[in-house]
Amino acid sequence: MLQVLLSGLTVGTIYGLVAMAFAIVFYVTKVINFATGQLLMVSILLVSGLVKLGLPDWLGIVTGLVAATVLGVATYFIAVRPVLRFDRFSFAWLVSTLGVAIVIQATFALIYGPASQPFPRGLHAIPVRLGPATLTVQEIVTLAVGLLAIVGWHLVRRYTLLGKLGKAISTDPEIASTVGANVTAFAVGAFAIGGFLAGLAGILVGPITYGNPYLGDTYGIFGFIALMIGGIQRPAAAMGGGLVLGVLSIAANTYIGAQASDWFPFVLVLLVLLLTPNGVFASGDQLRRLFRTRRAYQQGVNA
Amino acid sequence: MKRIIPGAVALAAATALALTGCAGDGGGGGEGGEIVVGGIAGTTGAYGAVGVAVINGTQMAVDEINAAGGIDGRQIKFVWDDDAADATKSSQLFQQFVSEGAVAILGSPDTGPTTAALGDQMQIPVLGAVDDGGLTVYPNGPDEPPFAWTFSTSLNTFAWGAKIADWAIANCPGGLAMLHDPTTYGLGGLAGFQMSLDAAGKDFVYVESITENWGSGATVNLDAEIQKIVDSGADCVEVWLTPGDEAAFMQEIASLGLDDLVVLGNDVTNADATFVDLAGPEGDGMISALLTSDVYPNERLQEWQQKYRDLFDGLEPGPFAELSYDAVYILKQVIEDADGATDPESIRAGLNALTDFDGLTGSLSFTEQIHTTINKEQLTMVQWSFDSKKWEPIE
Repeated sequence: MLQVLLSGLTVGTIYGLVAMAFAIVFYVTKVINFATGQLLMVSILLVSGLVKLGLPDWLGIVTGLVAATVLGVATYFIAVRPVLRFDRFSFAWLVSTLGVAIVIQATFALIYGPASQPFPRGLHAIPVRLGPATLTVQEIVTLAVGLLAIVGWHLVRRYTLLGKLGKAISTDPEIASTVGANVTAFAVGAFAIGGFLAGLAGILVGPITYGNPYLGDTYGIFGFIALMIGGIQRPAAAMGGGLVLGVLSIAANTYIGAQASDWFPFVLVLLVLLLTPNGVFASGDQLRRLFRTRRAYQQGVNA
Repeated sequence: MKRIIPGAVALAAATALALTGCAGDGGGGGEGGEIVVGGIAGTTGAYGAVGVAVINGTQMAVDEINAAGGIDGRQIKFVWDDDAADATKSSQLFQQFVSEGAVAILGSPDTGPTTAALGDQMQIPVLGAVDDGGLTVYPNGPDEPPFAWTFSTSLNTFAWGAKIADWAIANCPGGLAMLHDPTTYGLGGLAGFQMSLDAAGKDFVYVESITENWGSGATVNLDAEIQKIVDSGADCVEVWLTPGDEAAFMQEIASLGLDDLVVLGNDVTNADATFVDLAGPEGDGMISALLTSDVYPNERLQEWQQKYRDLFDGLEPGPFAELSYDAVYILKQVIEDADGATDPESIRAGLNALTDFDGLTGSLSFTEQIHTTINKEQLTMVQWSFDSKKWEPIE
């Protein structure tokens, strides 16, 4: 049971980081960057390639994170800003960010070939026993990074001027810009943070899944499911969605069967969308409201 | 190498039939006396290296034959495309090549169930790397008739399963567990194991099917499965999964300190370098089977392998390139034996009568009932040695 919980939280943190990457971009710009999964892939493959060339692991990791961040920003300037300048309410970014994803994937497939590349095992080779369960140091670091991401986001958003400006831009960019907020700078920052988080998720999952040009699709989809479960409006809620998805997927795998991990996430997201369309952790606590409404209805019937 | 579920195959086949209206005049031959041969293989995607090997091996044979004057004076026109391991794409390509006059289709190593089914429906010979033999060629099991128009020179999941099971029966007293892919690739391996286990009156202590990411290469989470295997008490586990998942499995059990668990592979574990590259030192000790002709390559094969490296910028040859090369020469011999006839029925009859063809992968034969060239007697058990960087024979 403890092993299921810990393994689920570890996997869920990876999904959650990708979901946060989606959510932070959406929070500021109201755009979903469909190249987010590919940014995860970029960081993994760059680390694989640079370490293979003889560079130290740490330098490969730093380069991978920087590259994912820069590509995130580049996505904004290439695929988002031009279409939003043309029409602020356009949905053309749906196609343009998807186009960026395909180009990144094809470019890396051309450079690296289709075969998976080894990734340095690093801390994943060191097991830690926690009673009946075993985690690796890498997995413990993953959990710590997830916690740090939630706490960090909360502190920045709540207690810094930057966070408050971001909140204002998220609520109404036009009014925010009239009081001096640089909306473009915040959008760039959001895409940079999104790229960084996706790259970070790649570094953390790399020792388990290795590097492959086509990885972005898988993690992009699971990150998006986590986003839908947690709620798209709040980045910290997206991380919560990842954790729920991770734990329940591993539990389904263990207690229902290995095939359950294929269909269970989709059943879960369907249930969430039916019961709380804005996500489990969305503001307003819709689940509580749902039960309160039923109770009130029942009381009315009884009266 | 199967990645297609039966439902998808049926749908793809039905779609192709609907589109073609049961096309296929079967005359074949192409323009200007050329003999058109179609090739389908997944050269992109996470396991595209296999498709590349298939196309390279085929092209090498075609170029050699054409340079030597062709088949009865007719040049071979090899037309191929990437199916991206997609059944729908594969069925479209099949139909396209047949409409271009292809006398036979080579492949696909990724969508074999689709090409095999279409071969029967459109009555066109399908040859070479047709998935990994096994259930792709014998859809109703090893004791039932094969697809009448499919002739696989590919690695054969029945053969690998039976061979590795024989070894496990003798060396795993504590019990045998198995994780397998749910497609015809994994089910073919399971059927091979079951044949040997049934004959010995044994059974698995634990079996589980796991869906994998053949397209993206993402590994599946194996923590829960490893725990179940440990709980089952098995001392050996057959991991009939992708090379990436096999490597992840080896690394996970190393992290967990499960040093005594013996891990068995499958026909693609050593078909290329994917597994050993990914697993690193933790891959040491993996046991599988390999074509005896690859374990002890003769002079002819060694020369061929060197030529392959020279032609393809140092790319390492593997069994998929070798068996695809063999398939083209088999087709050449069959057409020559039929005095140059390239109609589908003549080719099929010739393939059914092929006996002791001297190929790179051994002495190859087909009969009406046997449509796979590789059997377990052609295999040798091997173990990966990280120190020597070789699959060392263990029998």
